[in-house]
Amino acid sequence: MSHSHEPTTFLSKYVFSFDHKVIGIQYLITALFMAVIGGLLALTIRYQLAWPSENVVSAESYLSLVTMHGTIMVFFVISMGLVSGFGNLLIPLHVGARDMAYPFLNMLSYWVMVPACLLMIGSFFVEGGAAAAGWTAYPPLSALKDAVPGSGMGQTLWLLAMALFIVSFTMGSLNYLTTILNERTRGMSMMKLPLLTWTFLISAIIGILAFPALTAAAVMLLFDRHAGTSFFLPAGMYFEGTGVLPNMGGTPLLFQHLFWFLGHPEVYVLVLPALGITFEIIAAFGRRSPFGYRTTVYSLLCVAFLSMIVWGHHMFTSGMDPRIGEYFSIVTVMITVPFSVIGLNLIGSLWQARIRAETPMLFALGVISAMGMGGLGGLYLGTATSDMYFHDSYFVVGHFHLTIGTVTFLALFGGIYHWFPKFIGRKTNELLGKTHFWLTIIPMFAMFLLMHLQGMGGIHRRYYDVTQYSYPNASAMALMPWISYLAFALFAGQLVFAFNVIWSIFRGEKSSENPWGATTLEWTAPSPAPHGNWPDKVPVVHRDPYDYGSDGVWAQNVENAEGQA
Amino acid sequence: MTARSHLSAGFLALFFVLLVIAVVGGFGFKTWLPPVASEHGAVVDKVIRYTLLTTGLVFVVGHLILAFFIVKYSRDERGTAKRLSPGVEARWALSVAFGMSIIAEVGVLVIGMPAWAAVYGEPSPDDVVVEVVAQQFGWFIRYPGKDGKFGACRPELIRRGDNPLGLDKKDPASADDIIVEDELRLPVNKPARIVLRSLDVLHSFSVPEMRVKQDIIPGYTGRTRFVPNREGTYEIACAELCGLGHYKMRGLLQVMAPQDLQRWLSEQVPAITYIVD
Amino acid sequence: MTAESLSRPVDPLSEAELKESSRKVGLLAFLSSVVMLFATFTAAFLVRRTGTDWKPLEMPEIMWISTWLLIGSSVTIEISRVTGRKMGLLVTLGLGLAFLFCQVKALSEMGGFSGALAENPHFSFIFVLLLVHALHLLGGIGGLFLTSLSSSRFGWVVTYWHFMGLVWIYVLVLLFLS
Repeated sequence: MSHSHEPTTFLSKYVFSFDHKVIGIQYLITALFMAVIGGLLALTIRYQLAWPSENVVSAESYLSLVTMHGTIMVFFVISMGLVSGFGNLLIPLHVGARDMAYPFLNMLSYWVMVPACLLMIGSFFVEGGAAAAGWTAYPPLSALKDAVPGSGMGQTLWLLAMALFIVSFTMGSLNYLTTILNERTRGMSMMKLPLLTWTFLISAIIGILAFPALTAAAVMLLFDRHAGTSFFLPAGMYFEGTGVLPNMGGTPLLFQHLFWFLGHPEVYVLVLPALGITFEIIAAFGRRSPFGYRTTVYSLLCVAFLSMIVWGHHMFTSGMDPRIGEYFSIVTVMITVPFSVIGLNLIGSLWQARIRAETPMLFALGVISAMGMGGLGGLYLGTATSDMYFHDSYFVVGHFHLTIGTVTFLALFGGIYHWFPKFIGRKTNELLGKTHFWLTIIPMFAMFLLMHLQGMGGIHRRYYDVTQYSYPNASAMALMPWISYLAFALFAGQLVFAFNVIWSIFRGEKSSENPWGATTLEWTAPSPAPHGNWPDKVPVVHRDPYDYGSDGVWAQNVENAEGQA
Repeated sequence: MTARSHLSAGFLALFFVLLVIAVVGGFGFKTWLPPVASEHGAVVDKVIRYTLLTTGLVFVVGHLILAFFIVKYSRDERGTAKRLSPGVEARWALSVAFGMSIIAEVGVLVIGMPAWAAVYGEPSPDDVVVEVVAQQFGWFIRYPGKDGKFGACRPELIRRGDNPLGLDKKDPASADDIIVEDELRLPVNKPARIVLRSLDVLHSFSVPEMRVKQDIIPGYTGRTRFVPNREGTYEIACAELCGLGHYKMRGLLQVMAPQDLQRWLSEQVPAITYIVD
Repeated sequence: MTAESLSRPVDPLSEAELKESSRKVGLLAFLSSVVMLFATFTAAFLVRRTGTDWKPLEMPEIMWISTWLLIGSSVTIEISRVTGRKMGLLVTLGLGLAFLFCQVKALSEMGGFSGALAENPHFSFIFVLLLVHALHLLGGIGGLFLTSLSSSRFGWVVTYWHFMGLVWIYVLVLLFLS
């Protein structure tokens, strides 16, 4: 199999590159850059929450901060870093392909993402400020300038940026799906795929099927905003100053249904690849085949299916038909089944393992714990009856920060440390890596667990000034500044990561082809992997993805003496 | 395998054990919930306590096993990379999953369902009916008066000063409607049916002590139902982002003896008398 | 995709065959995304139609013409594919543009971007669905143009074009005949 000629100019090599590895790194760098912005927004939010009397921001800006922090972190950091970043870096290497199925489309998808990021950031500087209706953008709030200033130009830019994001993400998903299904090397059957690649496949499928719902909702919302239609806007809305609006019988609930039809699967688009990374790291640093490969694959498929029919658990208190609410509650907690299987398989993968607790492994073990806590916390919210109390409280905030915040960020860091040698050719510094781990996991866990307690105490989310009420538990209120201190510490701790990465790019210890003794195909390519991934022939697969025996370790392309294992 | 790696594993295991102690201490030995003040709220609390107990148990066992494995299998030569047959592995996974799903569904169906049904079940004729109308950023409370009927409201009649809900004077049912701002009064131990409307955007009627939270959708009439069983004054909060003043959309709920409520109602002047033509 | 291709046993496909089959997989995935998009609009339409302010509109005559134009374009593209003559693609392209012209005409006859769009929810849906379909069809027109220029085979554009024809008929039935 031949591959296209290596690009020579700076532009074609580093900017408009077709090479999946370059594109992956572009995505990762962009995501980390957006993470700094998202993090700074979070710090401002935390400052306001802890010391509301200082009014460090106005109520207007506060809502913009909350909205943009959510949007940026979910879509432009985690989706982009974990899925677009690692997906691009690893899928072709994992399946034994020279590149993605459609390299041009891949390049295009990154260069559609860039203007999306710029629009999102730019929206802070327009009249009325950035979007302020929450990352969920529920109308009527998100549709009417009369309702909140951010729903002017800011919300329009938000919608356009999201549209570009969806276009880009769909292009990426098409590439993942096609590459994984169709560009596998000889011998790479589906059941020999590394688990991470399975999770990318499933998140691509979910993305392709679920994102159109948000596209449709965004189109209709744009029409409601700019053409005076009433898809989501009901009759008789009254605002002081403008009086009664002319809209006719639209249904605000419809938007919520469409939003969460995407919004819930999106959670799994983020979490599944994080779990996939965890499985890869645990196999390599536990030097043991993951417990229950097949049950994990089937559970992932089951999660993908269930994710599409449970969106209503975000809407128990929304006013939808209570019988439908009860249905959603029953199927939602059924997600416990596949996730218990995955959780047990993760812990089981440590049984009889030979653990080397190096930096990536520490992060992976952290993911197991965070996923456990996040999953169990989900039961309080998936049960409709208790959600009547917890909905829109800090319990929810703590819960989703543990799952799509902590799980994904720990996996993102673990993945960066794990594959850094492969793509840069040098190892990161181990001592700095471990320091970063402790500076990350302690404040992260503490912050988000304390938020659960605040939610139990009854504190509502998205409040500019929580001291307006006296009902919440006094100890829950007293936690506010402590969580903020932890947030500042967490952010400061990331400087160690930044320093480690930059220092290691130039001065890190040179890495061999397979520094961790791992078995999947990317470790059979040189470090850093060249254009086309393997200098000569692509490897042929003879073995299961994790062939760790008691007497040795075999990469997937090692021929088995007795033929196929 | 380096000694330092072994040390890291030990630290991590210790961290997980400390985490278990902290979480059990934090969630288990302190009541964070505001004291409950409604009938179905007691059931909500029961679901929460049940979930705390079961998930707490799973959390503790899971983390202790995790910590144990990390310590045990990070020592030289302890692990054999031995594998069980796929069938045995699947059986392990499925039995845990089965147990977890039972735990979860018991919470939803057996314990939780009655409270859900109480809030959303069929209204009874004995319910005390009160309308709560949300707007940016406050609450209007409307009592139907002696006739038990709410007069018609039209948005185009809304005037901030004298007719905040757009009450239609021509509707005979309007004559004895009573409208007050921000203070909801309910009789103790009687089922209250709250009719919910919004004049502008989404809001949510939330009274933490009553364990009640119900979003209010503009253009629709929603409802919630609960039986307050403790006299006192409680705060009403908005739980759905509704704009700049969302955080201070504070109302009060007073739960009082029925005769006190009657006395108070009889002292009120019907809203219609304030409307200037 | 067959079970065989999933298990990927011995001989890898030639590069051209692989490219062709990848193109099919990718196209299929993209079309399922398009299906989900229109399914979402369908759900919204069915919900919104139950509103009390729903005033159903008649289908404008000109939409029959546009429908026949699009059906005709599917015939010409098929002839082009069977005979292998790329001239047919340009005819199809012309028919596609004529279709878009008729659609614009239909919308402006019904009231265009003026008050009607806001006042009648049925028309709001007609407008949005026609627009979304037209945007997808424009992608097909671009594809026709590029394919007619290039020396390579027909690729994805034939399937895509037929599919957009089907989507239009579905949209028509949904909007006016359901």
